[in-house]
Amino acid sequence: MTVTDEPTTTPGYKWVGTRPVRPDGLEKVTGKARFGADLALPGMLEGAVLRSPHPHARIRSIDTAAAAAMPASGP
Amino acid sequence: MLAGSPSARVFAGATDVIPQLRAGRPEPEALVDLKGIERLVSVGLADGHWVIGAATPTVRLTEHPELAAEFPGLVEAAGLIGSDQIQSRSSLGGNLCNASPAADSVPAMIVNRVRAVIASGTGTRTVPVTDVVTGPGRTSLGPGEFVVEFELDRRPSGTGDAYLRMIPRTEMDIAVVGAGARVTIDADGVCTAASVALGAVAPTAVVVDAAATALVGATVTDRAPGAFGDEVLTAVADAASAACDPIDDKRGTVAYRRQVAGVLAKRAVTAATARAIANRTEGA
Amino acid sequence: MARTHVSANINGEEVEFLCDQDASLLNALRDDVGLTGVKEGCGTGDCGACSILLDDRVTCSCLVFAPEVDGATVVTVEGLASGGHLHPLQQCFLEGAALQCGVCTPGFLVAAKALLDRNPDPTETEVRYALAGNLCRCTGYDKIIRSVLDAAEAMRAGAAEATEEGAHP
Repeated sequence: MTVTDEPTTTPGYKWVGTRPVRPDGLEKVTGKARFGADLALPGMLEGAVLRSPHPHARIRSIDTAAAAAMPASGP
Repeated sequence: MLAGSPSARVFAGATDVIPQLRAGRPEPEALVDLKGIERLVSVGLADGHWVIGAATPTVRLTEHPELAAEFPGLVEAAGLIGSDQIQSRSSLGGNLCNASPAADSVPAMIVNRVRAVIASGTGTRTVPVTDVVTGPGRTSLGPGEFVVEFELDRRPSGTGDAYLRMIPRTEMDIAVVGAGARVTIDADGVCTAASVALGAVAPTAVVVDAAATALVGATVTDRAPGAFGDEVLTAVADAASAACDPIDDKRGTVAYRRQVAGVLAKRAVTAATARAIANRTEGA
Repeated sequence: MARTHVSANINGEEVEFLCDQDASLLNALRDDVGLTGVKEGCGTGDCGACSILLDDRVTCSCLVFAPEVDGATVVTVEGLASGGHLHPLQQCFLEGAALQCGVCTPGFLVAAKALLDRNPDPTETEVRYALAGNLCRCTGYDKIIRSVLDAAEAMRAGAAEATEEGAHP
Protein backbone atom coordinates (compact mmCIF):
# COMPACT_ATOMS: atom_id res chain seq x y z
CA MET A 1 0.00 0.00 0.00
CA THR A 2 1.30 3.44 -0.87
CA VAL A 3 0.92 6.09 1.76
CA THR A 4 1.17 9.70 0.74
CA ASP A 5 1.63 12.53 3.16
CA GLU A 6 -0.57 14.95 1.29
CA PRO A 7 -4.27 14.15 1.00
CA THR A 8 -5.50 14.30 -2.57
CA THR A 9 -8.19 16.89 -3.06
CA THR A 10 -10.99 15.61 -5.20
CA PRO A 11 -12.25 18.34 -7.56
CA GLY A 12 -15.87 19.22 -7.08
CA TYR A 13 -16.00 18.44 -3.34
CA LYS A 14 -15.80 20.97 -0.59
CA TRP A 15 -14.57 18.77 2.28
CA VAL A 16 -13.81 15.30 0.94
CA GLY A 17 -10.06 14.86 0.72
CA THR A 18 -9.23 17.88 2.87
CA ARG A 19 -7.79 17.81 6.38
CA PRO A 20 -9.72 20.39 8.36
CA VAL A 21 -8.80 21.39 11.89
CA ARG A 22 -11.52 20.39 14.35
CA PRO A 23 -13.84 23.30 15.14
CA ASP A 24 -13.51 22.55 18.87
CA GLY A 25 -9.80 21.68 18.65
CA LEU A 26 -8.38 24.96 19.95
CA GLU A 27 -10.45 24.83 23.14
CA LYS A 28 -9.46 21.21 23.69
CA VAL A 29 -5.69 21.64 23.28
CA THR A 30 -5.64 24.65 25.58
CA GLY A 31 -7.71 23.02 28.32
CA LYS A 32 -10.46 25.63 27.95
CA ALA A 33 -13.09 23.24 26.61
CA ARG A 34 -15.89 22.74 29.13
CA PHE A 35 -17.06 19.17 29.51
CA GLY A 36 -20.05 18.28 31.68
CA ALA A 37 -17.89 17.49 34.68
CA ASP A 38 -16.09 20.83 34.32
CA LEU A 39 -19.18 22.97 34.95
CA ALA A 40 -20.03 24.43 38.34
CA LEU A 41 -23.30 26.35 38.53
CA PRO A 42 -24.99 28.03 41.49
CA GLY A 43 -27.18 25.60 43.40
CA MET A 44 -25.97 22.68 41.34
CA LEU A 45 -26.88 19.26 42.63
CA GLU A 46 -24.28 16.54 42.53
CA GLY A 47 -24.85 12.85 42.03
CA ALA A 48 -22.66 9.87 42.61
CA VAL A 49 -22.87 6.39 41.14
CA LEU A 50 -22.22 3.41 43.36
CA ARG A 51 -20.90 0.61 41.20
CA SER A 52 -20.77 -3.03 42.15
CA PRO A 53 -17.29 -4.17 43.09
CA HIS A 54 -18.22 -7.62 41.73
CA PRO A 55 -19.00 -8.50 38.14
CA HIS A 56 -22.12 -10.66 37.61
CA ALA A 57 -23.34 -10.43 41.19
CA ARG A 58 -26.89 -10.19 42.53
CA ILE A 59 -27.71 -7.04 44.53
CA ARG A 60 -29.33 -8.10 47.79
CA SER A 61 -29.47 -4.68 49.41
CA ILE A 62 -27.77 -1.31 49.37
CA ASP A 63 -27.07 0.58 52.58
CA THR A 64 -27.95 4.18 51.78
CA ALA A 65 -27.71 5.48 55.34
CA ALA A 66 -24.44 7.36 54.82
CA ALA A 67 -25.76 9.00 51.64
CA ALA A 68 -29.09 9.92 53.23
CA ALA A 69 -27.28 11.51 56.14
CA MET A 70 -25.59 14.05 53.85
CA PRO A 71 -27.12 17.54 53.87
CA ALA A 72 -29.90 18.09 51.32
CA SER A 73 -29.63 14.60 49.96
CA GLY A 74 -32.47 13.12 47.93
CA PRO A 75 -33.19 9.94 46.08
CA MET B 1 4.10 11.25 66.34
CA LEU B 2 3.83 7.81 64.74
CA ALA B 3 4.19 6.15 68.14
CA GLY B 4 1.23 8.09 69.51
CA SER B 5 -1.04 7.30 66.60
CA PRO B 6 -1.35 3.60 65.87
CA SER B 7 -3.19 3.94 62.57
CA ALA B 8 -0.95 6.68 61.19
CA ARG B 9 0.69 5.82 57.88
CA VAL B 10 3.81 7.19 56.33
CA PHE B 11 3.95 7.72 52.57
CA ALA B 12 6.52 8.65 49.97
CA GLY B 13 4.96 8.97 46.52
CA ALA B 14 1.49 7.84 47.64
CA THR B 15 1.02 5.97 44.34
CA ASP B 16 -0.23 2.95 46.28
CA VAL B 17 -1.71 4.72 49.31
CA ILE B 18 -4.17 6.93 47.41
CA PRO B 19 -5.67 4.14 45.27
CA GLN B 20 -5.96 2.00 48.41
CA LEU B 21 -7.85 4.75 50.24
CA ARG B 22 -10.10 5.23 47.23
CA ALA B 23 -10.77 1.52 47.16
CA GLY B 24 -12.12 1.75 50.68
CA ARG B 25 -9.21 0.85 52.97
CA PRO B 26 -9.81 2.39 56.39
CA GLU B 27 -8.66 6.00 56.62
CA PRO B 28 -5.55 6.35 58.76
CA GLU B 29 -5.67 8.83 61.60
CA ALA B 30 -2.76 10.68 60.04
CA LEU B 31 -0.80 10.51 56.82
CA VAL B 32 2.83 11.54 57.14
CA ASP B 33 4.73 12.74 54.07
CA LEU B 34 8.34 11.58 54.30
CA LYS B 35 9.63 13.60 51.35
CA GLY B 36 10.26 16.65 53.48
CA ILE B 37 13.16 14.85 55.18
CA GLU B 38 16.29 15.37 53.10
CA ARG B 39 17.87 12.09 54.19
CA LEU B 40 14.92 10.17 52.79
CA VAL B 41 15.18 11.69 49.31
CA SER B 42 18.89 11.57 48.59
CA VAL B 43 21.25 9.19 46.81
CA GLY B 44 24.98 9.06 47.42
CA LEU B 45 28.05 7.35 48.79
CA ALA B 46 28.75 7.39 52.51
CA ASP B 47 31.39 5.41 54.40
CA GLY B 48 32.22 3.44 51.26
CA HIS B 49 28.69 2.23 50.48
CA TRP B 50 25.70 3.56 48.61
CA VAL B 51 22.88 5.09 50.62
CA ILE B 52 19.52 5.52 48.90
CA GLY B 53 16.80 7.44 50.74
CA ALA B 54 13.70 5.27 51.03
CA ALA B 55 11.41 7.95 49.55
CA THR B 56 13.70 9.00 46.68
CA PRO B 57 11.66 9.05 43.44
CA THR B 58 12.85 6.18 41.24
CA VAL B 59 13.37 8.56 38.31
CA ARG B 60 16.30 9.94 40.30
CA LEU B 61 17.85 6.48 40.37
CA THR B 62 17.50 5.92 36.61
CA GLU B 63 18.97 9.38 36.05
CA HIS B 64 21.93 8.69 38.36
CA PRO B 65 24.82 7.77 36.02
CA GLU B 66 27.16 6.31 38.66
CA LEU B 67 24.52 4.21 40.40
CA ALA B 68 23.12 3.01 37.06
CA ALA B 69 26.63 2.03 35.90
CA GLU B 70 27.41 0.09 39.06
CA PHE B 71 24.01 -1.57 39.57
CA PRO B 72 22.29 -1.61 36.17
CA GLY B 73 19.95 -4.43 37.19
CA LEU B 74 18.73 -2.67 40.32
CA VAL B 75 18.22 0.60 38.47
CA GLU B 76 16.38 -1.10 35.59
CA ALA B 77 14.10 -2.84 38.07
CA ALA B 78 13.35 0.48 39.79
CA GLY B 79 12.71 2.01 36.35
CA LEU B 80 10.07 -0.61 35.55
CA ILE B 81 7.72 0.62 38.28
CA GLY B 82 4.85 2.19 36.33
CA SER B 83 4.85 5.00 33.80
CA ASP B 84 6.95 8.17 33.69
CA GLN B 85 4.18 9.76 35.76
CA ILE B 86 4.59 7.08 38.44
CA GLN B 87 8.39 7.16 38.23
CA SER B 88 8.31 10.77 39.43
CA ARG B 89 6.77 9.52 42.69
CA SER B 90 7.50 5.83 43.20
CA SER B 91 10.31 4.86 45.58
CA LEU B 92 12.24 1.80 46.72
CA GLY B 93 10.84 2.25 50.22
CA GLY B 94 7.28 2.35 48.96
CA ASN B 95 7.79 -0.51 46.52
CA LEU B 96 9.17 -2.68 49.34
CA CYS B 97 6.75 -1.73 52.13
CA ASN B 98 3.62 -1.89 49.98
CA ALA B 99 4.58 -5.57 50.08
CA SER B 100 3.18 -6.59 46.72
CA PRO B 101 4.53 -10.03 45.78
CA ALA B 102 5.12 -8.61 42.28
CA ALA B 103 7.15 -5.53 43.33
CA ASP B 104 9.84 -5.15 40.66
CA SER B 105 12.62 -3.61 42.72
CA VAL B 106 12.55 -6.24 45.48
CA PRO B 107 14.27 -9.22 43.75
CA ALA B 108 16.89 -6.80 42.42
CA MET B 109 17.48 -5.42 45.93
CA ILE B 110 17.70 -8.94 47.36
CA VAL B 111 20.35 -10.19 44.92
CA ASN B 112 22.41 -7.08 45.69
CA ARG B 113 22.09 -7.79 49.44
CA VAL B 114 20.54 -4.40 50.09
CA ARG B 115 19.97 -3.54 53.75
CA ALA B 116 17.01 -1.54 55.05
CA VAL B 117 17.60 1.00 57.79
CA ILE B 118 14.43 1.11 59.89
CA ALA B 119 13.72 3.99 62.26
CA SER B 120 11.32 4.40 65.13
CA GLY B 121 10.95 6.75 68.04
CA THR B 122 13.58 4.80 69.93
CA GLY B 123 16.36 4.52 67.34
CA THR B 124 17.26 2.64 64.19
CA ARG B 125 17.93 -0.96 63.25
CA THR B 126 19.36 -2.36 60.02
CA VAL B 127 18.06 -5.57 58.46
CA PRO B 128 18.43 -7.35 55.11
CA VAL B 129 15.55 -6.44 52.76
CA THR B 130 14.51 -10.10 52.82
CA ASP B 131 13.43 -9.58 56.44
CA VAL B 132 10.99 -6.76 55.72
CA VAL B 133 8.15 -8.34 53.73
CA THR B 134 6.29 -11.19 55.44
CA GLY B 135 3.34 -11.67 53.09
CA PRO B 136 1.12 -9.85 50.59
CA GLY B 137 0.55 -6.39 52.08
CA ARG B 138 2.28 -7.37 55.33
CA THR B 139 5.67 -6.35 56.70
CA SER B 140 7.71 -6.99 59.83
CA LEU B 141 7.69 -3.27 60.64
CA GLY B 142 6.40 -2.60 64.12
CA PRO B 143 4.05 0.24 65.08
CA GLY B 144 5.80 3.57 64.58
CA GLU B 145 8.56 2.06 62.46
CA PHE B 146 9.38 2.98 58.89
CA VAL B 147 12.23 2.46 56.43
CA VAL B 148 14.52 5.49 56.29
CA GLU B 149 17.09 4.43 53.74
CA PHE B 150 18.77 1.54 52.01
CA GLU B 151 22.44 0.62 52.22
CA LEU B 152 24.18 -1.09 49.36
CA ASP B 153 27.84 -2.21 49.41
CA ARG B 154 30.02 -1.25 46.44
CA ARG B 155 30.18 -4.06 43.93
CA PRO B 156 33.32 -6.19 43.98
CA SER B 157 35.32 -6.37 40.74
CA GLY B 158 33.85 -8.82 38.24
CA THR B 159 30.28 -8.40 39.46
CA GLY B 160 27.14 -7.84 37.40
CA ASP B 161 23.43 -7.75 38.18
CA ALA B 162 20.27 -7.97 36.08
CA TYR B 163 16.51 -7.95 36.51
CA LEU B 164 14.04 -9.20 33.94
CA ARG B 165 10.27 -9.05 34.06
CA MET B 166 7.67 -10.95 32.10
CA ILE B 167 4.48 -9.03 31.35
CA PRO B 168 2.02 -9.73 28.52
CA ARG B 169 2.39 -6.20 27.16
CA THR B 170 5.32 -3.84 26.69
CA GLU B 171 4.67 -1.36 29.48
CA MET B 172 2.34 -0.56 32.34
CA ASP B 173 1.62 -3.96 33.78
CA ILE B 174 2.30 -6.02 36.88
CA ALA B 175 4.92 -8.76 36.69
CA VAL B 176 3.74 -12.29 35.86
CA VAL B 177 7.24 -13.30 36.91
CA GLY B 178 10.26 -11.17 37.80
CA ALA B 179 13.79 -12.52 38.10
CA GLY B 180 16.85 -10.85 39.57
CA ALA B 181 20.36 -12.25 39.38
CA ARG B 182 23.83 -11.21 40.43
CA VAL B 183 27.09 -13.05 39.82
CA THR B 184 30.77 -12.43 40.49
CA ILE B 185 33.28 -13.96 38.08
CA ASP B 186 37.00 -14.11 38.89
CA ALA B 187 39.96 -13.78 36.51
CA ASP B 188 39.83 -17.50 35.65
CA GLY B 189 36.17 -17.31 34.66
CA VAL B 190 35.03 -19.06 37.82
CA CYS B 191 31.89 -17.88 39.56
CA THR B 192 32.79 -16.98 43.13
CA ALA B 193 29.45 -15.59 44.28
CA ALA B 194 25.90 -15.73 42.94
CA SER B 195 22.39 -14.87 43.95
CA VAL B 196 19.03 -15.40 42.21
CA ALA B 197 15.68 -14.08 43.44
CA LEU B 198 12.18 -14.27 41.97
CA GLY B 199 9.16 -12.01 42.24
CA ALA B 200 5.42 -12.64 41.67
CA VAL B 201 5.71 -16.41 42.09
CA ALA B 202 5.01 -16.69 45.84
CA PRO B 203 3.52 -14.59 48.69
CA THR B 204 6.89 -12.85 49.03
CA ALA B 205 9.97 -12.62 46.82
CA VAL B 206 11.83 -15.95 46.77
CA VAL B 207 15.57 -16.41 47.13
CA VAL B 208 16.65 -19.39 45.01
CA ASP B 209 19.56 -20.81 47.00
CA ALA B 210 19.82 -23.92 44.80
CA ALA B 211 20.46 -21.72 41.76
CA ALA B 212 23.29 -19.95 43.60
CA THR B 213 24.74 -23.32 44.56
CA ALA B 214 24.67 -24.44 40.92
CA LEU B 215 26.50 -21.28 39.85
CA VAL B 216 29.22 -20.94 42.46
CA GLY B 217 32.31 -22.84 41.33
CA ALA B 218 31.08 -23.12 37.72
CA THR B 219 33.27 -21.73 34.95
CA VAL B 220 32.04 -19.56 32.09
CA THR B 221 32.64 -20.82 28.55
CA ASP B 222 35.11 -19.09 26.25
CA ARG B 223 32.36 -18.12 23.82
CA ALA B 224 32.16 -14.29 23.78
CA PRO B 225 30.82 -12.48 25.71
CA GLY B 226 31.15 -15.45 28.07
CA ALA B 227 28.28 -17.34 29.60
CA PHE B 228 27.62 -20.44 31.62
CA GLY B 229 27.13 -23.69 29.75
CA ASP B 230 23.73 -25.26 29.17
CA GLU B 231 24.15 -27.72 32.01
CA VAL B 232 24.64 -24.96 34.61
CA LEU B 233 21.85 -22.83 33.16
CA THR B 234 19.45 -25.77 33.12
CA ALA B 235 20.23 -26.35 36.79
CA VAL B 236 19.47 -22.65 37.46
CA ALA B 237 16.18 -22.87 35.58
CA ASP B 238 15.13 -26.07 37.33
CA ALA B 239 16.00 -24.59 40.71
CA ALA B 240 13.99 -21.45 39.95
CA SER B 241 10.95 -23.44 38.78
CA ALA B 242 11.13 -25.62 41.87
CA ALA B 243 11.39 -22.64 44.23
CA CYS B 244 8.11 -21.14 42.98
CA ASP B 245 4.88 -21.28 44.94
CA PRO B 246 2.71 -19.32 42.54
CA ILE B 247 -1.01 -18.66 42.23
CA ASP B 248 -3.37 -18.97 39.26
CA ASP B 249 -4.76 -15.62 38.23
CA LYS B 250 -5.72 -13.68 35.13
CA ARG B 251 -2.03 -12.97 34.43
CA GLY B 252 -0.93 -16.58 34.36
CA THR B 253 -1.44 -20.11 35.62
CA VAL B 254 0.72 -21.92 38.14
CA ALA B 255 2.31 -24.09 35.46
CA TYR B 256 3.00 -21.09 33.21
CA ARG B 257 4.58 -19.08 36.04
CA ARG B 258 6.80 -22.02 37.00
CA GLN B 259 8.08 -22.43 33.47
CA VAL B 260 8.58 -18.70 32.88
CA ALA B 261 10.41 -18.39 36.22
CA GLY B 262 12.97 -20.93 35.00
CA VAL B 263 13.45 -19.23 31.65
CA LEU B 264 13.70 -15.74 33.15
CA ALA B 265 16.14 -16.84 35.88
CA LYS B 266 18.38 -18.35 33.21
CA ARG B 267 18.25 -15.19 31.09
CA ALA B 268 18.83 -12.92 34.08
CA VAL B 269 21.90 -14.96 35.05
CA THR B 270 23.20 -14.73 31.48
CA ALA B 271 22.67 -10.95 31.39
CA ALA B 272 24.33 -10.54 34.80
CA THR B 273 27.25 -12.72 33.67
CA ALA B 274 27.93 -10.58 30.59
CA ARG B 275 27.97 -7.52 32.83
CA ALA B 276 30.22 -9.22 35.37
CA ILE B 277 32.74 -10.08 32.68
CA ALA B 278 32.62 -6.56 31.27
CA ASN B 279 33.14 -5.19 34.78
CA ARG B 280 36.10 -7.54 35.33
CA THR B 281 37.77 -6.20 32.18
CA GLU B 282 37.06 -2.60 33.20
CA GLY B 283 38.58 -3.26 36.60
CA ALA B 284 41.72 -4.97 35.21
CA MET C 1 -12.45 19.17 58.41
CA ALA C 2 -10.09 22.09 58.66
CA ARG C 3 -9.11 23.53 55.32
CA THR C 4 -5.41 23.78 54.56
CA HIS C 5 -3.80 26.86 53.07
CA VAL C 6 -1.50 26.12 50.14
CA SER C 7 0.59 28.54 48.10
CA ALA C 8 2.27 27.39 44.93
CA ASN C 9 3.45 28.69 41.61
CA ILE C 10 0.86 27.45 39.15
CA ASN C 11 1.37 28.14 35.45
CA GLY C 12 3.80 30.95 36.25
CA GLU C 13 1.63 32.73 38.79
CA GLU C 14 1.83 32.68 42.57
CA VAL C 15 -1.47 31.15 43.61
CA GLU C 16 -2.94 30.61 47.07
CA PHE C 17 -5.83 28.27 47.70
CA LEU C 18 -7.64 26.45 50.47
CA CYS C 19 -8.24 22.73 50.20
CA ASP C 20 -9.22 19.76 52.33
CA GLN C 21 -6.20 18.16 53.99
CA ASP C 22 -6.68 14.86 52.20
CA ALA C 23 -7.79 16.38 48.88
CA SER C 24 -5.99 15.17 45.79
CA LEU C 25 -4.10 17.80 43.83
CA LEU C 26 -6.40 16.92 40.92
CA ASN C 27 -9.52 17.91 42.83
CA ALA C 28 -7.86 21.00 44.30
CA LEU C 29 -6.74 22.19 40.85
CA ARG C 30 -10.18 21.60 39.35
CA ASP C 31 -12.44 22.70 42.21
CA ASP C 32 -10.40 25.20 44.22
CA VAL C 33 -8.13 26.74 41.58
CA GLY C 34 -10.55 26.42 38.64
CA LEU C 35 -8.17 24.68 36.26
CA THR C 36 -10.62 22.20 34.74
CA GLY C 37 -8.27 21.40 31.85
CA VAL C 38 -6.81 18.82 34.23
CA LYS C 39 -9.04 15.78 33.69
CA GLU C 40 -9.92 12.84 35.87
CA GLY C 41 -9.96 9.52 34.08
CA CYS C 42 -9.29 6.69 36.51
CA GLY C 43 -8.20 8.39 39.72
CA THR C 44 -5.63 5.65 40.30
CA GLY C 45 -2.63 6.69 38.22
CA ASP C 46 -3.28 4.39 35.29
CA CYS C 47 -4.65 6.69 32.57
CA GLY C 48 -2.57 9.88 32.75
CA ALA C 49 -5.47 12.25 31.97
CA CYS C 50 -4.63 14.27 35.09
CA SER C 51 -0.91 14.64 34.22
CA ILE C 52 0.77 17.81 35.38
CA LEU C 53 4.35 18.95 35.80
CA LEU C 54 5.27 19.12 39.49
CA ASP C 55 8.65 20.81 39.85
CA ASP C 56 9.29 19.90 36.18
CA ARG C 57 8.48 16.20 36.67
CA VAL C 58 5.45 14.69 34.97
CA THR C 59 3.10 13.35 37.64
CA CYS C 60 -0.47 12.15 37.99
CA SER C 61 -2.19 14.88 40.00
CA CYS C 62 -4.72 12.30 41.25
CA LEU C 63 -1.88 10.61 43.18
CA VAL C 64 -0.64 13.77 44.89
CA PHE C 65 -2.12 15.19 48.09
CA ALA C 66 -2.83 18.86 47.43
CA PRO C 67 -1.01 20.14 50.55
CA GLU C 68 2.18 18.52 49.21
CA VAL C 69 2.55 21.22 46.55
CA ASP C 70 2.96 24.05 49.04
CA GLY C 71 5.95 25.99 47.75
CA ALA C 72 6.20 23.89 44.57
CA THR C 73 5.86 24.73 40.89
CA VAL C 74 2.94 23.24 38.98
CA VAL C 75 2.27 23.40 35.25
CA THR C 76 -1.04 22.27 33.76
CA VAL C 77 -2.26 22.22 30.15
CA GLU C 78 -3.54 25.76 30.70
CA GLY C 79 0.08 26.87 31.16
CA LEU C 80 1.47 25.51 27.89
CA ALA C 81 0.50 28.36 25.57
CA SER C 82 2.36 31.58 26.25
CA GLY C 83 1.60 35.14 25.20
CA GLY C 84 -1.28 34.07 23.00
CA HIS C 85 0.88 31.59 21.09
CA LEU C 86 0.10 27.90 21.18
CA HIS C 87 2.92 25.60 22.27
CA PRO C 88 4.25 23.71 19.20
CA LEU C 89 2.78 20.53 20.69
CA GLN C 90 -0.67 22.10 20.81
CA GLN C 91 -0.29 23.36 17.23
CA CYS C 92 0.84 19.96 15.98
CA PHE C 93 -1.95 18.11 17.85
CA LEU C 94 -4.46 20.43 16.14
CA GLU C 95 -2.98 20.09 12.67
CA GLY C 96 -2.25 16.39 13.04
CA ALA C 97 -5.81 15.62 14.21
CA ALA C 98 -4.32 14.05 17.34
CA LEU C 99 -7.51 14.48 19.34
CA GLN C 100 -11.17 13.65 19.16
CA CYS C 101 -13.13 13.79 22.40
CA GLY C 102 -10.28 15.68 24.04
CA VAL C 103 -10.35 14.21 27.53
CA CYS C 104 -6.93 12.55 27.29
CA THR C 105 -5.43 15.47 25.33
CA PRO C 106 -4.31 17.68 28.25
CA GLY C 107 -2.47 14.74 29.84
CA PHE C 108 -0.81 13.75 26.57
CA LEU C 109 0.32 17.33 25.93
CA VAL C 110 1.84 17.67 29.41
CA ALA C 111 3.57 14.26 29.29
CA ALA C 112 4.90 15.04 25.80
CA LYS C 113 6.21 18.39 27.02
CA ALA C 114 8.05 16.63 29.85
CA LEU C 115 9.65 14.33 27.27
CA LEU C 116 10.68 17.09 24.85
CA ASP C 117 12.04 19.24 27.69
CA ARG C 118 14.60 16.55 28.50
CA ASN C 119 14.96 14.98 25.06
CA PRO C 120 14.43 17.36 22.14
CA ASP C 121 15.07 14.66 19.53
CA PRO C 122 13.28 11.47 20.63
CA THR C 123 12.84 8.40 18.47
CA GLU C 124 9.35 7.05 17.87
CA THR C 125 10.07 4.27 20.39
CA GLU C 126 11.13 6.81 23.01
CA VAL C 127 7.91 8.77 22.42
CA ARG C 128 5.84 5.61 22.79
CA TYR C 129 7.53 4.68 26.07
CA ALA C 130 7.26 8.23 27.42
CA LEU C 131 3.52 8.26 26.68
CA ALA C 132 2.86 4.73 27.95
CA GLY C 133 1.27 6.22 31.05
CA ASN C 134 -1.37 8.03 29.00
CA LEU C 135 -4.42 6.22 27.66
CA CYS C 136 -6.52 7.36 24.69
CA ARG C 137 -9.73 5.51 23.92
CA CYS C 138 -10.86 7.21 20.71
CA THR C 139 -8.22 8.90 18.57
CA GLY C 140 -5.69 6.09 18.59
CA TYR C 141 -2.05 6.55 19.36
CA ASP C 142 -0.57 6.87 15.89
CA LYS C 143 -1.63 10.46 15.23
CA ILE C 144 -0.61 11.45 18.75
CA ILE C 145 2.88 9.95 18.37
CA ARG C 146 3.31 11.56 14.95
CA SER C 147 2.20 14.94 16.26
CA VAL C 148 4.74 14.76 19.10
CA LEU C 149 7.50 13.90 16.62
CA ASP C 150 6.35 16.79 14.37
CA ALA C 151 6.39 19.18 17.33
CA ALA C 152 9.87 18.03 18.31
CA GLU C 153 11.08 18.73 14.79
CA ALA C 154 9.42 22.15 14.75
CA MET C 155 10.96 23.03 18.10
CA ARG C 156 14.43 21.95 16.98
CA ALA C 157 14.08 24.03 13.83
CA GLY C 158 12.94 26.98 15.95
CA ALA C 159 15.87 26.58 18.32
CA ALA C 160 18.36 26.36 15.41
CA GLU C 161 16.90 29.52 13.90
CA ALA C 162 17.17 31.35 17.20
CA THR C 163 20.83 30.29 17.52
CA GLU C 164 21.58 31.49 14.00
CA GLU C 165 19.97 34.85 14.63
CA GLY C 166 22.04 35.15 17.78
CA ALA C 167 25.22 34.37 15.83
CA HIS C 168 24.57 37.09 13.21
CA PRO C 169 23.40 40.16 15.05
